[in-house]
Amino acid sequence: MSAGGVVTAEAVAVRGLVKRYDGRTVLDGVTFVAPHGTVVGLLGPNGSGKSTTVRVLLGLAAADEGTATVEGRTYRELPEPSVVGAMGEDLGLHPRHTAREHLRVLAAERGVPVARVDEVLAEVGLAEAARRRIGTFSLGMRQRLGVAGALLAHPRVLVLDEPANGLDPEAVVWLRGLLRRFAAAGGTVLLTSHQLAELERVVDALVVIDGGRVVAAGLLQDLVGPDGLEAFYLRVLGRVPDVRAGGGAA
Amino acid sequence: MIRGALLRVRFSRAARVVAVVAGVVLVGQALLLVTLPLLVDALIGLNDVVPNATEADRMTAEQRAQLGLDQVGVQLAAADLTGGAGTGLAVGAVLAAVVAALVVGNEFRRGSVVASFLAEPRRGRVVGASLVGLVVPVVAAGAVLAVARGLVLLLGARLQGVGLRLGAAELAGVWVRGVVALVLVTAAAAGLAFLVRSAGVAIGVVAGVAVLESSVRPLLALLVDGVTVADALPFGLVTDAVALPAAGPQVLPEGALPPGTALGILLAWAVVLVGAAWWRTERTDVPVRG
Repeated sequence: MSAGGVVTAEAVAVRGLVKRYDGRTVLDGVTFVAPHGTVVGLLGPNGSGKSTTVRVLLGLAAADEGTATVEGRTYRELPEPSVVGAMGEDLGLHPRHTAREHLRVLAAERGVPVARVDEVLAEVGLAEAARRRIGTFSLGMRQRLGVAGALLAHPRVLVLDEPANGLDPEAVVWLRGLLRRFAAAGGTVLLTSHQLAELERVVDALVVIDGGRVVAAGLLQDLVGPDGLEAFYLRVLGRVPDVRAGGGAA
Repeated sequence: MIRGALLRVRFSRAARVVAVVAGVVLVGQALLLVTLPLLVDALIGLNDVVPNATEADRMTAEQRAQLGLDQVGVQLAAADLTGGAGTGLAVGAVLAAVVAALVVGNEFRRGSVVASFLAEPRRGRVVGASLVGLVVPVVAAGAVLAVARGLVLLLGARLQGVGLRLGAAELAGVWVRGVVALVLVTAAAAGLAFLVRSAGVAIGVVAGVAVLESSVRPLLALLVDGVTVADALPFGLVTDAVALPAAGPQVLPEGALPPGTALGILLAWAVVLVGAAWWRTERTDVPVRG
């Protein structure tokens, strides 16, 4: 876990991140860290800046100010980008490709042996569907394939955008176990999700972004009280739960 | 990264479909060229069965002689793997450009280019790998087409009972220049697709240039003596690149550029478009799909 000989405590560190599009500030000094061996949840309403933060972290967009680093280096400076496994909203899946073909391309681009493709397909429970066209996959199977792509090169950091989206309950349990095992082995997961109940069961720490600013960050147990993550989340965003309406935002 | 780019092209159904179409069109065109005198004879014969069925019998002996495979120009047109010599528009080059625009543009449309940028954060290298991934199959396809059109030329010469008037060196030169021209057009089209980041826009530009050239080039050649700006348009340059000065005016219209100059200008097109694509890809944010 060293960067240029310097041991870094954080696997992911985002400091003072500012990003503007056409004069509009979409990230306004976003700061948080994700230590090694933890699962960190990145929460926020749609358009709050989560995806932009992830895009800057992954080198897909340039920061106007501040830094976003993985093990002490920006993504472009990483000697081996395979240290990060990413799965975005945009999975880049070709409906006419088979699952195996999709992963073979990713493996070739990352210099991963082809044998790893079948291995990772088995890991995500898609071994039987390896030669099926992606166009015939359910949303949950596509998500599993996205996770497979992220795991392909044995990364130390996983950046997953809505990985539980479309998964059935059994698959959600599988994903939870996978992420917890990954963190227990020293890996770091940065996870965005709108499924608060599930997030509460898997994350160690939370970062809540709203309007391009971090409005809450810390360990789950320090932030969330007995009324749960949903109540905390709505409270921190200033949307007080409407008890009469059954817990929806007022 | 290059292996990944090669696999992306290999798994691209659009590329496979266009490659098959190109093969059929280009081999079919060569077959048509080497059997033209026989077809004309057949059409004239048809008039004996159905009176005035065709106007083929109105062709003069001189006109019919120009279609014979004993003409250097016809031999060149049959051998030219770009399909441009003697026909005005290099069909092979247009299809190669379409494949490049489709493959690169679809990477942006489907978002799969993001995976490449994650694997290689110095994004300019992704442009380079994609170019190699496209150029390798184009060179292979060019070699196959050279063999196929060479065989068709030999078949036609045997059918018509004429000897080859193009020497081995001339044939090799035509094929090598043809492959180089296809490679440069492919690179330029891939650069364009990286620049505009859209298959639809890139193919629209390629088709627009092809249509513009096929109408503007002959028009300007009629109006203006010598070289015009239309002679610097890419698909006509492919035709010029494979032409032989000795092949006669029917395949080297007045005002066309010498092969070396044509290839030089094509290279400039490729360098400018790939350079601009590299700059934009390296220096600007990766677009969010949708």
